[in-house]
Amino acid sequence: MIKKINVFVALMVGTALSFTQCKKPEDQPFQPKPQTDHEIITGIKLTFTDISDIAPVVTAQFSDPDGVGGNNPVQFDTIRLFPQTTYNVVIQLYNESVNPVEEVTENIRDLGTEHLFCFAPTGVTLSVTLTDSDGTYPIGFSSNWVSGNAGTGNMQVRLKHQTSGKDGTCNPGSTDLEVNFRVEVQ
Amino acid sequence: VPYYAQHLSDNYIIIDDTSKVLNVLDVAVSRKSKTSLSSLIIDEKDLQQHAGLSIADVLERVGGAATLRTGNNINKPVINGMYGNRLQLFSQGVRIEGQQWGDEHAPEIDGHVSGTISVYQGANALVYAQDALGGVVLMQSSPLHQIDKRIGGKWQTAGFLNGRGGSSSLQLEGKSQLIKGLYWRGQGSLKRLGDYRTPAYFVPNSGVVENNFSLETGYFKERFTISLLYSQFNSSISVTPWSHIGNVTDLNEVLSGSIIRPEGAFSYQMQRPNQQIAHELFKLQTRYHFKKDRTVQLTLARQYNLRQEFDLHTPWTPSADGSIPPQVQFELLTYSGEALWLQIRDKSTTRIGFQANHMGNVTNGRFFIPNYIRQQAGGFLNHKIQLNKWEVHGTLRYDVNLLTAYFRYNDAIVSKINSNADFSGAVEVMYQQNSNLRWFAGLNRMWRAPGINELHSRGLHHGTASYEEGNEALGQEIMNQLTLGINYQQQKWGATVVPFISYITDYIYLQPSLIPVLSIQGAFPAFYYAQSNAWYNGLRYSISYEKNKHGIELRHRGQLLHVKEAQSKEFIIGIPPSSFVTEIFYYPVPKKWQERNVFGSLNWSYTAQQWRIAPDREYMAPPPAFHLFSATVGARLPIAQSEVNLSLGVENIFNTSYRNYMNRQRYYIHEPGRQLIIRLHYKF
Repeated sequence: MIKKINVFVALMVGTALSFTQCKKPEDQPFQPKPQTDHEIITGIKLTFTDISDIAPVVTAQFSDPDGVGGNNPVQFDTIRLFPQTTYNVVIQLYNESVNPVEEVTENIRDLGTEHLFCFAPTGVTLSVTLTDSDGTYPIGFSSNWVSGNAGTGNMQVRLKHQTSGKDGTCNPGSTDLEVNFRVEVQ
Repeated sequence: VPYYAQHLSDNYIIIDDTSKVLNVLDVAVSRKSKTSLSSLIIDEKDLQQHAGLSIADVLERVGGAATLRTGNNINKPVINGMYGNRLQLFSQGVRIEGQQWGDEHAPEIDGHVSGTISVYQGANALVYAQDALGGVVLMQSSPLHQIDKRIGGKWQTAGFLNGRGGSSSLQLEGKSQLIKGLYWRGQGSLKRLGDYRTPAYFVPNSGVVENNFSLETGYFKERFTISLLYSQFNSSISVTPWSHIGNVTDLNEVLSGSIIRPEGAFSYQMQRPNQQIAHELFKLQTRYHFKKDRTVQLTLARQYNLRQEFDLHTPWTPSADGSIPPQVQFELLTYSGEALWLQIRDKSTTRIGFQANHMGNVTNGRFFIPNYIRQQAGGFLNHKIQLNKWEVHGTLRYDVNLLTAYFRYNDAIVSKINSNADFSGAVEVMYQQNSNLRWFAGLNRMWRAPGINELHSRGLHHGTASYEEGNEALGQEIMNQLTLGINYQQQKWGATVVPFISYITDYIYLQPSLIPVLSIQGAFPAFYYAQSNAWYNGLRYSISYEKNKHGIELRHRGQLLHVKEAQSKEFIIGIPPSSFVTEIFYYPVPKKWQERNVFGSLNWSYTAQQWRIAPDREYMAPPPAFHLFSATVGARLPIAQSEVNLSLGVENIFNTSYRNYMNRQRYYIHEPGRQLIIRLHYKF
């Protein structure tokens, strides 16, 4: 009986040893590499230029460098515009999760046939016309905004990713970006 | 002679078969009056009749388990309302270590199991794992040494009309003529399905491709056996882009019903989004039989698991080698070992074992879980004894779990350690009152350490537009469960009722937050892992009528679950609704037909609407109840003496349009419409 137990113990120890042997070389690969996603958009900047060059140039920015979750956005501007004015609006997109910050506007513009900016104002009069093109349909990186009377409201800026079926409307696809800017026209 | 003694007589003990017999009961498969209160066995014949389906689908159709689905091809088994981290799957005696924490991660197992699938709970489950609160599912091929031909095998194939594809599996096995006691087996399978159709439309990008193989060899010498196994599982699963939504605005558009789905057209083409999964298992097992009744078994295994997820969007920066990288990749390497001592006597069995494993995960791309190392070790003592009309079965076990997660903050690497250790145990008593009536009572305590996602996940779920975040402070959850059972047999009639009550202390769940998470993609409802106490109660029952002289057989089974948080009294969401299945089998009595194994069956299943919900946690009211009907006819073909079986089946006969509460894509798509299946099984 004792002998049998010895054999058993020997087998057990053998198993245990084979584990420690397996373990050692594996430790190294599990050290983390930088887990950075280079493919995210964390910031958007809108630059407003009065086409008749009367009102000053305005910018509005939303910035959440650590992406979804974690810390709150570090910058979330209000769009302040003059009434009865036509602005040319240029949109720039950034990935601020990397150092140095990367501008990704061109990456998205290159995929312009799959993307469309949609603008939906609420509580304030702003009429938006997209002025750029992917060859067939507009994209929305540049647009003209015509402001109405003074007032406050919101402007929803939405970037739709339309992998297939881009038809110039906002219906197809899923949302890559959606920011509800507060707007003050005064 | 008891079944296990037959195995002893040829000196080989098949451990799983042993426990199978010792637990001669079964709730769902009461066809053979094998009515167990804590286990379920699906045999080879049942598996053949469901060839081409995933493990979860087989368990649902034969065993009465539920399934958590993501579309049609990602299926996870659900037992007693539990899945993922709470249900452990074993293939060929080795615990499958994949990415089971994810709801949209299917188990990395070939559905073409040859042999048996067993489900254990309570004392038997604790022999395999301490954290299997819902149970363990074991897939075991038939023992190598039972191969009695120089070369033999089987070929089974299944064709599916909906999805316009099928699966095929070839198995070859034999025993060496040169070396006595040397056996081998090789198996390979292919599966390919294109887009499936609901009654009204094709679901775009919903196909699947699977290629699997395994090689096994064993040497059996009187008291000593050694066996080697290598298996590979590879699958590519398309995910419908309809289920990929960017944010809550998108979700609300879907829920409002304003999106009209075009009928579309069939395609085999795999597009984005999709998942590529590979799993590799290498196993070495050796046994030594000391005396007629004592055995020692050692098992060592290595598993490699690779999961790559390709999002709807093509990344704009290709890899250095020009290929398109996945947006997220998990690489998991696991070493595991088990030493087992077993003694089988006429009236008792004893099992003592030690198990240990070491696992490492490397994530690349988008963050969802960090890199980690998990180490587990545990030991158990299991004993079963028969005393006249009584049978007592118990397991005691102790486990240690250590999880180290690695994070990079700026350029420093920070590690966070969670360690858990505790006892678990189970006692079960069975009393055979008379030849008709059997009683069962089982009490068990099991615990589970929090998983990597529960501790450290952080990210978005694109299928539900929700944000999920782990909680580093979580401790282990502990389940105390009481299961009762009664089994009554009279002539051809049999009935089994199994109610159970479980109280889980520090149950880990996702708690919704009132404050949404604001990001550049919009505001997302946020869910944080939390702990609270919960009740998991339920009832399973079955009624059976064995084949009579007219060749008619009946089976009926049902299950109900009642799962609530203890403090808030709120129902826990995502629990399978009540379901009831009735089956009629007909085996024509004329001798000529009997010889040809002619049979027909009709199956009616009813799934109730899930009303046990927390309304503020559901995006959409649970789908209404549905009835489904299916039918099968089959026979052995008159081809010489060989065994060729053919069967034809129709599922969802009436092409019913329905949504399933247990499908994570229920907001976006309906379930598949009518399906025609042809199955051929050839044994040689």
